[in-house]
Amino acid sequence: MAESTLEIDLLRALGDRVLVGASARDWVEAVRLAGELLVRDGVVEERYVEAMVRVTEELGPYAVIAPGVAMPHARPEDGAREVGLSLVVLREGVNFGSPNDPVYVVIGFAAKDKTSHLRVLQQLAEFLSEPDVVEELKRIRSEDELRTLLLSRLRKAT
Amino acid sequence: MSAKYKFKLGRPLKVVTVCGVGQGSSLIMKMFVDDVLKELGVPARVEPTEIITAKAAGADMIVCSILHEPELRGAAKIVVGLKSLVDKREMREKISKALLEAGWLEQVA
Repeated sequence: MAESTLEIDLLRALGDRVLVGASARDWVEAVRLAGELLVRDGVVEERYVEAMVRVTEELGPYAVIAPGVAMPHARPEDGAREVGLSLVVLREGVNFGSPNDPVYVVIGFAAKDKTSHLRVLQQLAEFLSEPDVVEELKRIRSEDELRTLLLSRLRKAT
Repeated sequence: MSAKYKFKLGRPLKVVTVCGVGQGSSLIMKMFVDDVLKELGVPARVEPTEIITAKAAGADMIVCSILHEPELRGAAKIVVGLKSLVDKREMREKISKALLEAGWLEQVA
């Protein structure tokens, strides 16, 4: 698999569903911000957003996958139409009740089955595994800056 | 990584990675666990799943969030709880320590 193709998978899944410098009162609002970006582009049906909130409530703060980073998602049958991501960077962190609070980066995530999103997740995981990635993301002020950061990090990882 | 290990189980290690839904963070963990076990020279079959299935999977090792660790304790000989699901170093440290303690891995150099 060529590097350029690998890079495109994550960027294509993300599209321009990016919100930087966002504010949210609490984790529910933060999850909804990420979910609404997915709804806007038709990646998910509207009901998917409330399912993201419900799943997080039911299963606890497991959605916080790393210090400062949450990846809330619901199930494919909750109204996911395709594979897609959204990314919200909060100006001030919110608490999910996780040892990795406060959360500054919320990644909305949808997949229509259990396998089609593997490569996207792999690239996302590589990107998030850099120890300083949350600090870098907090500094981002525009979608362009985010794109540049993603590209440079993905090149480094491959 | 300089330490060398010898795997002693005599069959591939059966591993499940666990998250709430079984299609997001469990997949992310699977990718990193695959890498870590390969580096340790441990042949393994790693399946992503959710909690209910994990409990009945008969796995040798369960890898999950520290939030799920208490609930899964006892469901496999080794249960590794992670603070960060994308930190390969944390994974490598905790997995190699657990495998050594279980006697399934031996340090040879």
